[in-house]
Amino acid sequence: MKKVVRKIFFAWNEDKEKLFLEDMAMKGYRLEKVQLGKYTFEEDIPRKLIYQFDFKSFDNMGEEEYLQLYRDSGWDLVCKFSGWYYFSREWEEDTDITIFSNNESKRAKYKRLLVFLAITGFPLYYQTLIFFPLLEKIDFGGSEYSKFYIFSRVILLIVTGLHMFAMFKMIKVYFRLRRSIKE
Amino acid sequence: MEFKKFSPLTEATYYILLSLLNPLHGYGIIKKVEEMSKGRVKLAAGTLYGAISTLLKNKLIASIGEDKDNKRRKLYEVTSLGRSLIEHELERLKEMIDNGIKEIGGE
Repeated sequence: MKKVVRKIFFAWNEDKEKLFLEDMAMKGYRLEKVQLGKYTFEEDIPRKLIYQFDFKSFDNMGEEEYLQLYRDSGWDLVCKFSGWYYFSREWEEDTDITIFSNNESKRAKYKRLLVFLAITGFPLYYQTLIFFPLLEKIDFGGSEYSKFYIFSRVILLIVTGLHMFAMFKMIKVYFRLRRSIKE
Repeated sequence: MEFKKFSPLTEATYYILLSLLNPLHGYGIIKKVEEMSKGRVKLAAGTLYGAISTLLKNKLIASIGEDKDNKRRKLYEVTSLGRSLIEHELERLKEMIDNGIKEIGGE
């Protein structure tokens, strides 16, 4: 039996997402798939699972090797979702319950995410902040196109705003980690 | 050689470089570091992934082939630059230890 839960978590709320998934596993629902705002679970016996999330974009380690490293370390890949990798393992005494053993590597993950956000955000910012103001100078003469133009401009402004908010939130998380003295 | 950019190394990076004086694959590094530190330093998978990625980028280690049993496990080894960095770091650590002993112990 499958169970779908509609819920949305953001990268700065990872801890809450982790608790949610672990709580579901305790209730007998094992995560199967993640889509934007949608979690699909498969009914299973109640388990004490540990969930961890990593973010990987383009770099010099191939995906096959990357997943092999996690497998060797005892982590199962649950699913992938736009650059995010969801890993889980059964809870046991004395096993690693985290995929990051120091602050430096936690920061590195957020840095990868920030670089990814900045690259994907660039066309958006260009469109909203440079291209649209340029269009202003052209007179559409109140045609149908002009209404569509205003509508799409409002939508894009909202998306750009959300993107900026996300970047700001992630930078905050990054710098909070940076302040730790213990390394 | 200019090592200011890298030094001081984090404990994890120092041990990873040290373990790669001989070729090892990812999980092999984790095991070797745990063994060298008598179980004290346990590298997690995500930590090692990030470290390998950074070390490769800075040419401190290099990929030298694949594991015979499983092609998905790549083998790594320190480069000559990586080796010099370990030596530089050893000098720095030695100075720290010598000073520590001189000031606190010794008598």
